[in-house]
Amino acid sequence: MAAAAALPVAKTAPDLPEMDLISSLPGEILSIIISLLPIGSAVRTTSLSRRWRPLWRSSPLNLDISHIDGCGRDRAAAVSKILSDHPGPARRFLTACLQITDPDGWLGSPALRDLQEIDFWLPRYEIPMPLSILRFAATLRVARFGNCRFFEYDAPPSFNFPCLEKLTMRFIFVREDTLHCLLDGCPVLESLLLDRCHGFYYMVINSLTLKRIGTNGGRHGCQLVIENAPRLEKLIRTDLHPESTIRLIKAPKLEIFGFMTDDFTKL
Amino acid sequence: MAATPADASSSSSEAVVGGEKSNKMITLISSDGESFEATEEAAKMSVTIKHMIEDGCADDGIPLPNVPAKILSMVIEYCNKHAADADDTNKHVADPADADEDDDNNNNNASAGEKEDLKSFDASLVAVDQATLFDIILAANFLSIKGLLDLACQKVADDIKDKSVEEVREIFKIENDFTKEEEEAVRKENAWAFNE
Repeated sequence: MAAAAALPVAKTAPDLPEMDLISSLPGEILSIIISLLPIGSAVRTTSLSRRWRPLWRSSPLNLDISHIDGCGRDRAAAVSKILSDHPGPARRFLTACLQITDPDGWLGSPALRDLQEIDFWLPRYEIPMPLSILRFAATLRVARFGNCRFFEYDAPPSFNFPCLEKLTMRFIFVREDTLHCLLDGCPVLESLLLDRCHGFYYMVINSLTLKRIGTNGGRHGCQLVIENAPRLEKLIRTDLHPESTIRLIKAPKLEIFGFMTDDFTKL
Repeated sequence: MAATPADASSSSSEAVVGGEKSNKMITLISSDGESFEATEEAAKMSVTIKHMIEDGCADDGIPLPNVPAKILSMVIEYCNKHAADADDTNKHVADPADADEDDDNNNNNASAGEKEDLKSFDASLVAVDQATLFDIILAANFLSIKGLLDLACQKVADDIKDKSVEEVREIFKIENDFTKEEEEAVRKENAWAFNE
């Protein structure tokens, strides 16, 4: 796909149409196409022609902040503009590269309604994950959280992520009971990565859907127990604490079980 | 797919029931009257066709008045290639833009070599002129074949992304019908995006 984008216009000249075919595609199709574009290209479609002007605002928002040029402040300003401009719904919101100064403000934006994929990092590790993140619980399919304390209340909130297939947590403090509540609330989870998280010494996996589990590091040992995981195919632990153990009770499909020194994120 | 009494009275190429995949052939008729055969399994990659089969409308062949022969044969090629691999295709929300994250799109049962084959097949299927590509998109949309629709739309997105507004207009022959004031207003709305 990268090759197609690199072709100079002249080389594709024989394929250039004689007339504007694309603009007569139905709006719902143009919306799909726009929603696949990086945010800058998507916004620029508003200036192609009158037909195209309203289309970006009626296609699901695909906002990966790393595609916005400029320093942190410029990027943050652009994001605030986009979130105030787009009526929603949103497909993707990836913020990993940015120091977010107003997490609650952004998460509460109507533009992010029905969000399906999120990558959300807090600016400082001591900050709790805002409760407003649960606003997307019903629609999230892919979630990556980083650098925060995860729901450290006396009683963990009730987690209900009916569509969540992929969960990644990095540099997160999460208590054992909260973690298990979270996993219990993910009925279709297929992939779980815990990277340099701590707060739990014991993790029991009881999942009819999990296919891949990866854990990396941690400040203290953790006993991982695979109690029942009929679809588990890959289990990988890296940078193990000497006191970490694994106990496999039931994982009939487990094919890869081991330790990696790199490419952890390519699990 | 359990047999119902209605099934027993239709075509003689009826398949064994009880969990085995049906070898029943479905006839698809293009807008220009050409007939194509596809296995039921491949044909059911189209949710539209799947419903027609389940409603019992498929026995005399399915007319597709929106899909010309040239496009229909490409669509069937796609379905044939992907049907063998699909693991509840329409349930997985494949995100082609997620190339480095997603290691198993619809191809849960494919080996690494097979996945590479499928990827290059997909790439060559959509390496066509714009008119054909848009016809594929319209057919995939009409037939509700999500994987093919995503694939073809991603190709168009790849041709648009990271290009200037002028370049995109040139490639797609889009006429700039803004007044000067309108165009300035649009660019000002999201100035950050227009540093070209």
